[in-house]
Amino acid sequence: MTAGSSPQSELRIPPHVSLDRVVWFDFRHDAGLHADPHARLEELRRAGPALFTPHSRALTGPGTWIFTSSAAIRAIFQDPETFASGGVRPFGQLIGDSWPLIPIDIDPPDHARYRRVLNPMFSPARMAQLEPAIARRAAEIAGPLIARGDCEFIADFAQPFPVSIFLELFGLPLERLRDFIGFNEAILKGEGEAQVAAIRGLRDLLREEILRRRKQPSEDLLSELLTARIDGRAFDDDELTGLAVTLFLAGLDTVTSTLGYMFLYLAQAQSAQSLLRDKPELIGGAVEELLRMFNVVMTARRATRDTVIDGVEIRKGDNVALPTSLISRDPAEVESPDEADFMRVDNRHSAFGYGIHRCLGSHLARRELGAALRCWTSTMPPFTKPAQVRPVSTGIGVFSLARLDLTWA
Amino acid sequence: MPIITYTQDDGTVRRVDAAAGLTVMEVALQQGVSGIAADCGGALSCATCHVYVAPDWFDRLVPASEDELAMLEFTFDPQPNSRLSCQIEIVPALDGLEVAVPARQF
Ligand code: HEM
Ligand code: FES
Repeated sequence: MTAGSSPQSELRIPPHVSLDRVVWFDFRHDAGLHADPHARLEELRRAGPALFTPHSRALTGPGTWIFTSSAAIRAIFQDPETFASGGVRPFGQLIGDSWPLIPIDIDPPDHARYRRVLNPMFSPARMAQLEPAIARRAAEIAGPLIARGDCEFIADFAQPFPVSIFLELFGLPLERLRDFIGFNEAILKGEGEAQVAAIRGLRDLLREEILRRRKQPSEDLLSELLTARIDGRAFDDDELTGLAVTLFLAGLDTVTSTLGYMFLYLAQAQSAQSLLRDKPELIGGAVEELLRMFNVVMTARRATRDTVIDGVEIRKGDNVALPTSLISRDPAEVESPDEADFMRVDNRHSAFGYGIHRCLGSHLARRELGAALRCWTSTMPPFTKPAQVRPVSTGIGVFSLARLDLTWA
Repeated sequence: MPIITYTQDDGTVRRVDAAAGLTVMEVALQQGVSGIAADCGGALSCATCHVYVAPDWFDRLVPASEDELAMLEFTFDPQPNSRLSCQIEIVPALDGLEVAVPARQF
């Protein structure tokens, strides 16, 4: 997730950065990143363990550090006192509001207080109850595509599927599907006025729904947030907004994007696809392995004090980009990291991050991804992708395929 | 060095030397014990380092903190003897500790 863009005139190399670490990596316009983000990140790994780009990943700050070893990235994730999340995604501020994104932009000690309330709402037991609804939605969205013989997988399935689950969780009418997809796109991919308008639109819509639940509570997650207690009190309006907006932004694009790369892979690797058709018991392993191969998140932190990582001097205020793919594909940790092996044992990837902010929604995400793979390898015909179309990725905080054309006979 | 016994879900029993100061999760990862994911690295945010502690050991452990108790709900199949292995620090008195790794972490 990123907000706004930084004026190019700010580009400079701060004096504490040694010149041999500088790469002119432009998060917004890097051609390699657009062609294949995972391969491009591996290229950065080969460029050195600690890189500095004068380009900014987010709204503010003098350039960005990129550490490329899993050990360094893990160390940064594990030290939220030094590498803070507060203020990294100032969406509320962009529209003149005071709510932060909760819990993703909250630092210790408050962060744990919020997670304590949220964790049970996304526990495996709770998410297991959703499984039938998730499978049903996958079938409802994919089913009508069969007769067409082709689809644009992102718009036709990968976007509406997780949004429909979100609507189900939040008790929102399915007719709002297109509104929510529109907000999501404009906030995460847009800039300037369009982005600001979408944040406002999303905030207003969610606030309206919160008000409705105040008058008439129901069984959904929004109602649950209204009755939840944090240190013996209810959440205030700003907290409710920050929570609702975060759950929306964190839980949709990530799933859409991961689905995109998973299905691009399966459309190209016919043998892997038929393996799943013949052996559906491998789907759990396939979800994990494809999550590992295609990490979509490149999150960020800001240094709260001067420190040293890997012998490199970091100054207070410096920004750090954290592409989790560089953990999940680090040859120092994973054997043959660029090969998909659905039977990998103890597959310890970092698609969901690491440290205190490690994904709240992983149990939901895994069930959504599993249901999508199951649906497409059991009820849908074998699919391929037209060879002449090159995939294009967009996004900085979350990489995603701009489109994915699939065809079947 | 204290010795810890992990029973993996496939029935394999792993008896390993554990350096005091590490956690039961860290030792499992170092020694290649199968079935402990530990996605968050001990930050109490993933609950994928879940173990079942042998009943006669359970009460001898430092009790779970409130944060850990809340997080145990986030495990796949919580039982009365569930603990998060990243929260169990190895001390000499834990020599002989026995834990079982659950069938799945998520
Ligand atoms: C495949 C899908 C998903 C991926 C790859 C993913 C990945 C991640 C990552 C890498 C982080 C850590 C960000 C950071 O450290 O700055 C994160 C955090 C988070 N994710 Fe997910 N996520 C996914 C799905 C979901 C879903 C479905 C939800 C729905 C609730 C969700 C909710 C969250 C929340 C609330 C956080 C912030 C947690 C905190 O700050 O403590 N995610 N996710
Ligand atoms: S390793 Fe994540 S909670 Fe123990």
